[in-house]
Amino acid sequence: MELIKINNLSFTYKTGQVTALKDIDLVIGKGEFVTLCGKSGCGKTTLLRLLKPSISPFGEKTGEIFYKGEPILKISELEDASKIGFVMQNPDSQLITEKVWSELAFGLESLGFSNGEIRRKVSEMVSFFGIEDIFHKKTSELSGGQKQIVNLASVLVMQPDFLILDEPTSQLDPICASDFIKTLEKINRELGITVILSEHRLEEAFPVSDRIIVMDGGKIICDTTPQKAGKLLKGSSMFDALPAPVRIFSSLCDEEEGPITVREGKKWLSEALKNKMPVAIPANENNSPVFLQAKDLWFKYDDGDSYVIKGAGLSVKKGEFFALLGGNGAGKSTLISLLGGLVPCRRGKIIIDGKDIKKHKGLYDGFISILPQNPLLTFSENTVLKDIKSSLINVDDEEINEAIRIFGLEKLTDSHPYDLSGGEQQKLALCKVFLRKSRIVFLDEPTKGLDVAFKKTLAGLIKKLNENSVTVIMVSHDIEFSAEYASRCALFFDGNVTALDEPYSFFKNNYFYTTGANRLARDILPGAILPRDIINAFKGEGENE
Amino acid sequence: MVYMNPVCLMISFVCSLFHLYYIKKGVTKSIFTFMLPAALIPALINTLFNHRGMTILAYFPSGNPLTFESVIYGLFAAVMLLSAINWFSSFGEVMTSDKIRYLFGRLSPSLALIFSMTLRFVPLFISKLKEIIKYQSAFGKSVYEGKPVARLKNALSAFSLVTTYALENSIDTADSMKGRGYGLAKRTCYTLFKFSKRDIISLTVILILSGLILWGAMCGVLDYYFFPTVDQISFSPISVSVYLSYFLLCMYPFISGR
Repeated sequence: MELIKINNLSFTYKTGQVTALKDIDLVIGKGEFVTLCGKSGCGKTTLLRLLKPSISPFGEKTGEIFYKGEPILKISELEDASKIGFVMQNPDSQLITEKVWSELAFGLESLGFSNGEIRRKVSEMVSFFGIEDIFHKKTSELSGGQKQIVNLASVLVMQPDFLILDEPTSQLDPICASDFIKTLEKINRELGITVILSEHRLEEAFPVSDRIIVMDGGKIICDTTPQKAGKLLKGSSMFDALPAPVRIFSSLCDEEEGPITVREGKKWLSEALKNKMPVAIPANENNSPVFLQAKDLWFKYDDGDSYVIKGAGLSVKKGEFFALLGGNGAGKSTLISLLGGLVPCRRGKIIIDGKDIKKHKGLYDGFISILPQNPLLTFSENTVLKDIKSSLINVDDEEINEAIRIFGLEKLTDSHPYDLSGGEQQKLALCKVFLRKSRIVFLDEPTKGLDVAFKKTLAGLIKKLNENSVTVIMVSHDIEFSAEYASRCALFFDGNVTALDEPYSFFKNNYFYTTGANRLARDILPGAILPRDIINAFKGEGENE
Repeated sequence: MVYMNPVCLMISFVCSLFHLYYIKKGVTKSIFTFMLPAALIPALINTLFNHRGMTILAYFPSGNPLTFESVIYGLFAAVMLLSAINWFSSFGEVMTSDKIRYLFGRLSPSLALIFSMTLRFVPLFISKLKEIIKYQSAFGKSVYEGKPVARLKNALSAFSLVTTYALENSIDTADSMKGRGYGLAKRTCYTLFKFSKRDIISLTVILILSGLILWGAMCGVLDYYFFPTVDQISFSPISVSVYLSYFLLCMYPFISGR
């Protein structure tokens, strides 16, 4: 039975002339798990918000949306609040109250439930999610993943039929993101709640979805099962966003349905590839002198705290693209602040370009650039163009315009930085960092919220910097990006830098913390870490025969 | 601590220390480093500048007398001050936001919500401000370095930025509230606590003990004068029973908490 039916829906925002949605036709059945994907700014959020009238955007709308056979605008506000659940992107801003328990009760309090009923529903929810240990905590003390689980639970406590999630995992590290998707799967399978999810990272979402819907430029360009998505999307710009097994399979075979999980992919690959051969590790020699050296760094925020950085040491060569990986809350961002000279370390020494960082003058005048994890922290003016110009000295207009073009911000120069979408804000912050032309650049989660197409552009820009012997140090949990583009990778764990190596050796030796392609081909093609390694191996075998 | 009666003051002081120790699982260093000087200074000042009293111990160079009564009064004033500090720090530990919410939530659920939202917002605002100041300096807008005028300008801009940030986030928060039915029905207020039989008993005990003490105070049992000479402490049956009630009231949180 259908839950949502959309007929010929188009939507234009009042402020912009651009059509956000064009001729959308869509049916979502009861109990389905639907994943919606597409580049940033393709209209995903607009579509999702139109499915919940109480938070729908204002604008020109044509066409119809039906909820359980009734026009969606005719359903009562009460039904809207309790039966349609919505979880947003930012884990922080949708939290309302101080404590987890009051957050969970918020919706039920609004609907006027009595204390006894709320108690029963909340305790049931807490047990279902297994979050007894954080029930009494302050919401500000939770990790990003926990916050998002609380947001989900406080929507579910109202017992909705339909759950809408707008990029809920985009701010989480891969492990937390995977846990979150697993929870969604549990809700869908065990409670039969219909789920529609928009996502950038599809590795986890693909196997649990019944349907994949791809949007581009406000239109649905593909509506299919995960198994068939690979073949249908071949050649489109969304192809690179698909999970590794799907990409590899559809690049090599022309069959209708392909594997979607690592397990299925492994099975197929071991049958398809008979001759095992190790992948040649590309030579990657960098004999440049050391540019940044950190020795035995110790750091804690307050005297009473425990140390976050515990004797970390690191040396990075000139013109290198160094990637530091690790989970959220491991202290990666703190390390960036230390290395970039934003906070002094408690013990230890940081030497950049042969000089102690404390002795450098004008550290941020063309010597060091830092991109914080949250792009909003870099904005200081009320239009994009003014904001870019305000943070620069001695950069001519031509160069600025060129950068604006590369970062795809041409149409947005007069917008307020806060009005941009998450991905666009990230691009603006990156644009400012790149224009500052420093000799060493620190990037904290630069690929967050970016679509696959722009990640490629970013990699090209970093490479150009490297060629001009600018050193780039990135902390990230984007494993695929680091594997493909970094010159060296290291893992940050327990306040220390461990497992420092070149990407091929680094990921080859990791078992859990590695790329999808490596997991897939570990037994068959040792040393393959990127889909293209597997594809090349295949083609090489074909030529030999 | 309300009555300037030496027995009551000592009872209150000892009990407050006891509670603080019990709640915080160990008296903190701050009692000696901060509280003791904070209490002794007023005591000293009282001794120096209060010249009432009959028993003269010595004369200051200025010719004013140092009296026994003013020394005693100063000491007990210090004891009162210390007990007050101790009771309030125990209160701070015990009365968490959850309990305040319980007390006021019934009266006005919206007030309870505002209270809870404020408690979330203020620390968030401060930590964001710190973060903005930190990262803006990487874009050449430092609050700590450069010319004073530029620094002031950067500080103001950081403050305006954090305000924009908060307002922008509040749009999401508002959507989240609306999406969860805020304003649709008459709001209730969920609390973690129930008013049980034990609470009724406690309330009764506290009311009876307070009644006894108040009655004693009104009858003048607790009256005590330091000037012109210090009174004898009364140990009549009536006053002893009032002291006992006072002691039980002070120890009640501990007795009922067992």
